[in-house]
Amino acid sequence: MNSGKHSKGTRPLITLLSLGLVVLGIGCVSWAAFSIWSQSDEQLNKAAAASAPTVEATAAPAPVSAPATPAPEPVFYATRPKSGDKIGTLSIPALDRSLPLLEGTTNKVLDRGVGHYSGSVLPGEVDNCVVSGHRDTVFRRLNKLKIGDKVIVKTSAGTFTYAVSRKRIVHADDKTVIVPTDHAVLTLTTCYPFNYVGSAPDRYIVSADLVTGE
Amino acid sequence: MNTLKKCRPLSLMVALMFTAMMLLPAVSLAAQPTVGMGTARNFAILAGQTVTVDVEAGITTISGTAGRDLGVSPGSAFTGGENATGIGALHLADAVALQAQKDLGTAYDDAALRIPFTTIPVELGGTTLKAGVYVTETGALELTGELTLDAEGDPDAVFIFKSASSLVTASGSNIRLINGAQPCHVFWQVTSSATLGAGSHFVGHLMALTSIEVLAGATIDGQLLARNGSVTLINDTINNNRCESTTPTTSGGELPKTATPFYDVLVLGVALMLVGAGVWSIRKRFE
Repeated sequence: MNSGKHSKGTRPLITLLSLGLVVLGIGCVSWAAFSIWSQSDEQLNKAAAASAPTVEATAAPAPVSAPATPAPEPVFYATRPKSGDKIGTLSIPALDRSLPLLEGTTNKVLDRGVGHYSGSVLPGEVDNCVVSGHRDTVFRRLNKLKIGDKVIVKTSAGTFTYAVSRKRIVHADDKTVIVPTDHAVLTLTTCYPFNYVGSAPDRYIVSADLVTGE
Repeated sequence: MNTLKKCRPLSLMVALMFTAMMLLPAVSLAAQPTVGMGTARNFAILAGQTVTVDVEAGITTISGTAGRDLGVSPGSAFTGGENATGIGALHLADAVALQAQKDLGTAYDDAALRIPFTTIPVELGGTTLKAGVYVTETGALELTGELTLDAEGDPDAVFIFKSASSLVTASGSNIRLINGAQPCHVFWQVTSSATLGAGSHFVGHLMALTSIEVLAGATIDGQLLARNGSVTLINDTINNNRCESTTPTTSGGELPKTATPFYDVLVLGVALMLVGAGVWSIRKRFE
């Protein structure tokens, strides 16, 4: 009897709990769906085309393979960008992607596009330029790239075309990826495995050598 | 009252002098920014009237990552092209050369007006100079032997030499860069003409108001830019290179975290909905 009275009293609470769980679930699904949609190709392409780079070039576009074309002084960029500044756009024709390239690799920055690792040189400069992106948004098909595919970075200093030269999978703690190079390299990094739920233990790395700059 | 009025200008002057004394050291200690070359940066050789390349035991070689262009403006004469190799785009009396001359004029004026400057002897040979702006006692600049430019570890260190008349370097003379000094940050503003000696090694952006004559076998790490007159070369080497990057990539940097919570939250949301639906379906048991 006591049990029956108790049950009658708890029914509205159970109803409320179930409705609450469903509403919370719908909220989570909606937020995730919106976030995934906002990082879709179409939205990022729009974002890539929307705003001009906020990083100033030193002068005219920079030459790399054809030194007869204009060059900046003293380096490609007059100032180092601040975290969150738009550097330019990163296009991967093989994946039909055009993505905004921003300074920094914080969560906030990576939610807006591809992030440039601040401890590396800027696009076009001699040395290793490292850029990172989410495996489930901007770089979700990075593993589809083939050796020789082009990666084009457009910044205020010029348009730099890189060709994929190497792909590899390393542990998240690997310290051999972000290292200086003796020529202009673009290194793209993202988490791996691509379909992993939770914090992925590895990183997928694509290296591309600078082919032309104009 | 009159005494007080007389004192006012005096106290004002004292105050101004005091302020100047406080500010001057700060001004002189401030590092010089580089001189912006604009579109002139792309030119290894730029002249106002004529560029002549003579041949003697070999041809002139032009190279460099900053630009190998050759331009003449407002004149258009270029002779001896067959005696040179590596020339980039030729701009003879065209809009590009005109703009480059305008930018050269701006850079020249910028360098000419730089203060504070240090006065040094006319002869630069045998001296070591740190970053700064330099003029000479008589206005002319001469180099016999070796001049050393010391950047003291700062790759952005700027050296500006201003000549009120000419610049003459002797044959076999040399400019040595140490402790990170870069040719792209060395500027020469010459109010008349410059002559670089045979077999000499010269460094920097040479901006002459009139003409530049480079004798046989000289090597120039920089640019030859004559505003109104001519540039003459004989079997020389010109390397017009960009500055090296001053921000090398970190060695052994930690790979950025690139995971999003989107799919985790999506899975969580579906799970919550299922649990909620399950609880809804068993609520009748509590009646």
